[in-house]
Amino acid sequence: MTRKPSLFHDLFSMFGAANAAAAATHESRTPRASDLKTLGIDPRQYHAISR
Amino acid sequence: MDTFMLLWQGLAVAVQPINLLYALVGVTLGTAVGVLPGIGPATTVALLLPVTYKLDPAGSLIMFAGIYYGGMYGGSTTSILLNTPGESASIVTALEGNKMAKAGRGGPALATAAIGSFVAGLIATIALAFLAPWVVKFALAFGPREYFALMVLAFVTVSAAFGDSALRGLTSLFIGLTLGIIGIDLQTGQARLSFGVPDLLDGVEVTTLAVAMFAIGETLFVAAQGKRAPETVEPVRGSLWMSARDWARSWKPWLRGTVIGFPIGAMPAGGAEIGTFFSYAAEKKLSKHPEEFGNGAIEGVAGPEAANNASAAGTLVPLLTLGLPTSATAAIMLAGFQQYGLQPGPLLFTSNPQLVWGLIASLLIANLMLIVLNLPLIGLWVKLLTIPKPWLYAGILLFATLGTIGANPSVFELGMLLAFGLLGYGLRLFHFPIAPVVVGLILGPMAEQQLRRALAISQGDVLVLFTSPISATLLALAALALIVPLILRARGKGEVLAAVAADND
Repeated sequence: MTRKPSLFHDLFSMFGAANAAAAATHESRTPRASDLKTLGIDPRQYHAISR
Repeated sequence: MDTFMLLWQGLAVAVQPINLLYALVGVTLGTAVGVLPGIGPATTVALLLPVTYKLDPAGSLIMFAGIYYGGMYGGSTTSILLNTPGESASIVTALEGNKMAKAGRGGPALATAAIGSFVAGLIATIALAFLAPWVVKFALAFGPREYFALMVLAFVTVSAAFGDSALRGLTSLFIGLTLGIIGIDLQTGQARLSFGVPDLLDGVEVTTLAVAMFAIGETLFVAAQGKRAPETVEPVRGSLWMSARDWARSWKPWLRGTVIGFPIGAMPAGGAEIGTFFSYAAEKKLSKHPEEFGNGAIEGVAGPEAANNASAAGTLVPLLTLGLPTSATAAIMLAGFQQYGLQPGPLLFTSNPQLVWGLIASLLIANLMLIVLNLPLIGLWVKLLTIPKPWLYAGILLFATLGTIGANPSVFELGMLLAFGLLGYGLRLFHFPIAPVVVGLILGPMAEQQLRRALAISQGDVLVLFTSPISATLLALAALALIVPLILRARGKGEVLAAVAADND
């Protein structure tokens, strides 16, 4: 049986992913697909943004 | 005196015609650089540092803050209409905003971004006004050891905690700290790292380093990316105004974005981008229509745009009250204060209340100017994108060089500008953050001075740093800020490897 992740876990992982994605944009890199997915962002749509 | 009275007095300073003019110039420049991809508020403020050192401090700082706020506003326009964010804090806005523009809803997307920025800017500036005196009251109890601990916390968070690599961040920080050592030691009179060069005895000018890193290094990096694909502007079809449904779907994300962005901006090295990503994720989780995300959900524009403006105000809390820069633009603004001989921190609120409260009050006015400038003049801002990029980059390099030479007419200074510019370019090329270099140069000598004072008081006993509850807590937080991200990254790598293994199975 799998346990439903807690709100705290959700917030923590979202914040961690937001941090990592923001750091990547700062360094002109593309954020990791796993971080984008945690944030509810489709990595293909993100890649379509021209920078 | 209560906050309302101080804010009222600040308004009296901010509405002086000359200060209104500085605010207008600031928000106009800020919006323009926000619109132009590759140039951010940090670059613009860095460029203006050498040319504003003879102007009135209050007016210049009002202009710098206007540039910061304006950059956050302007970035959304190109995100929505071109799918090309002018500012890294507007990347998330492009996800839903450009989809809305393609569906013929560019007007409401621009409107919710502008009104959301206004609402967030207003609430966050008021929050700044009310929070600042509390932080100042707390910070007045700080002695040398507490200040040293606070700076250690700032060093760790700026360089190691929030980047993708602690090693790269710390390397950048140590470059800055080393540059900060150059020159005559004020306590002993010894020349340090000057290698017998008389021009180095005065140390490295923060302005020169900031202009070199942010204007020259950044411009070389952007120019070296080569030609971009031709950009297509989505025309704004239909009304600019939002429907009743758009308002109903926007107001909660505006408020949530403000609540998310403000504290993240105030966190050391928080940066506006974290708030925008977090706000987007939160809006998608809380939305009644999560299926619309990715196809033009207005909440995905309203929340992140509010978050990035709120974070700009949040950044000013530690900058003004503690003298701690938490973002690249804040680091350059700190250099701006220092070029007038002003040191942001609790004492500035008592020694120069008119300047501080005038600056805070001017943010309210700048916010009002921005909404008037942005929505009706969208066509004009988009036209800025037709400026040929080589002209733009060459113009920045020329302006940076002339500005530095004007402020410090010396061939050696020009050589340092170019050398640091190339260093900045190299750092950007190899994904080293550049803000820690500037922060190291600014805060390094201050941290050293506070440490020496603390050790002089304790007669050399290092344990004195841990016997004050405040400094011990700050140092413990610094240790956590260094260790926890390392563990999280290691765990993240483990999870990725596990996921790869599971995929292979």
